[in-house]
Amino acid sequence: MALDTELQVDAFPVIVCALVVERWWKQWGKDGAKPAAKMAINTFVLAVVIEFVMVSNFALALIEWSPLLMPATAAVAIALLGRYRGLRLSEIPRFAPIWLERRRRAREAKLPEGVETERRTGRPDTRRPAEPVPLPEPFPPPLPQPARLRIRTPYAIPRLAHLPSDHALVIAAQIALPRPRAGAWVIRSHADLARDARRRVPQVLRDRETAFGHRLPDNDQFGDLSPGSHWADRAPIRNAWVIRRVEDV
Amino acid sequence: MGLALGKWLSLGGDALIEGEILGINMRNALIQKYNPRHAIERARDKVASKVALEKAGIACTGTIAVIATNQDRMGFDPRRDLPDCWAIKPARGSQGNGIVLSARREGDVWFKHSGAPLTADDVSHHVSQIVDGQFAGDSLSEDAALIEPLIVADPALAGIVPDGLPDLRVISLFNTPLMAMVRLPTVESDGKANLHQRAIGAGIDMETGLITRAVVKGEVITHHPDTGVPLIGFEIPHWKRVLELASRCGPAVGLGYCGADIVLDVNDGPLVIEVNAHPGIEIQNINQAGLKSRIAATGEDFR
Repeated sequence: MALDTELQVDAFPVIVCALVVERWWKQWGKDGAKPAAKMAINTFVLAVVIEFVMVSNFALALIEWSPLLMPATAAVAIALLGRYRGLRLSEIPRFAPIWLERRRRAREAKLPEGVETERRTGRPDTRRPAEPVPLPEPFPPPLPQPARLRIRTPYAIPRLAHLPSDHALVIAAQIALPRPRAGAWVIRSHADLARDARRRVPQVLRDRETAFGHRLPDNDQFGDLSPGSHWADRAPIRNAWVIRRVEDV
Repeated sequence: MGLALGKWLSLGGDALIEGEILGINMRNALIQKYNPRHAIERARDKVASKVALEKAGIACTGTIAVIATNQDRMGFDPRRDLPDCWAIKPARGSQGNGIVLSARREGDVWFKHSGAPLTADDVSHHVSQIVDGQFAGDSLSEDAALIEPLIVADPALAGIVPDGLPDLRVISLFNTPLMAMVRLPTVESDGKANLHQRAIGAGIDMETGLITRAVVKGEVITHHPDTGVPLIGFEIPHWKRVLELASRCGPAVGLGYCGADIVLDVNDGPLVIEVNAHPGIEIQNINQAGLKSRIAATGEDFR
């Protein structure tokens, strides 16, 4: 018999016992004697169950085969049982009122109005099959369509139109454009944006006197920035060295 | 196995696994899936979660002082720093342990609701007990004492309870409030809104904010046993605001599945007092409805 022989072979591990006692003492100090006693009883019942599992023929055979098989079996059991996400056994009585209430309501709902008790129990079901319920109307109901529908033109991506350079629109636009700055590309038409287009770079030709004259303008010259003057096209050089004496060189 | 057991109990086939009730296994799986570790730690600490909630612009209860270290405790003088009515709470306490409330003050002596006096030395001693971690659960670590102004319940709610502060518990998944109940203190529960101490749990209809069902320790009631006020059909004031707060405080703390504890203040309306990372599943028994079906309605696949 298991109680006589096998259970006496392996004594209750001393360290585990010490831990249980320590934990129990802590619980007693924190929550009082009653919860501590409850926890202790739970622990001992569980320990006894585990003891019987450990001395069962299956576990002993596993250990005899190879000691590593025991943890391997435990790992498989955890992988199978640990994925259980349903209700626990202790939760069935806890949530039973919800199911019972549902069932009671379902039974009440089946009886037609004015009928107190179910008298058909045990008799063959002679009720007519329920008529097919028409599908519910879509909610909200579809809005009434207006009589005249305005047909919109489908959206199209706007395209750049290619206009000849003597087109009236181009000439009108060129009049409004400012004079080209020196050294800048002039984009006047669609073709100027092409990859290998020859773009016009306007050159401002100066007369000899302004080209070789002094670069820093006089005060009155500097003020003249009206379009068409030389200084409007060319910004003055601001960071020039000013050499006044021999030592500056 | 679950299938066979469900059939044997005639619960209808797969009621145990696929049914509408959320069991503790499934709840733990949801928490593991949606509540990151650092967010749970934050929710457990009242001060940290309060900082996070305030940052998100959620109405919380006010703060008078936070005493986190012994240095703070040395600089804390109750006579100077405390108003007439206050509440001292441990930041990491659980189940309402270590909470002291003062209802009025006469000179340098405060009085609890029960009339017991609290001298300045008592208050200092209690604060130092909290800071030493006496109420911080199992771990003997440091704790912080959180001092808040006393909350006076909304008169509509205060009229149905004899004493104490009723609080609302709303369970939500991310931004969706799923189920709500209000916990009403009784004389037996000694003014505490704790269901284990025989407070009333009352289920609330999510759309209208009306109380649909009230339970004390598994016993269905219709009127408050102490005041005799009818509970069924009572409308929770500011219900829309409560839902708005509840839907925002989970993401503010970083939790996916959480339970928000909300009180109704007489002046400020709904205020969040705490966000719980492991809300209990007893609320299903009180509402007589399954949480799992409501979670499934939000599009959760339970994997």
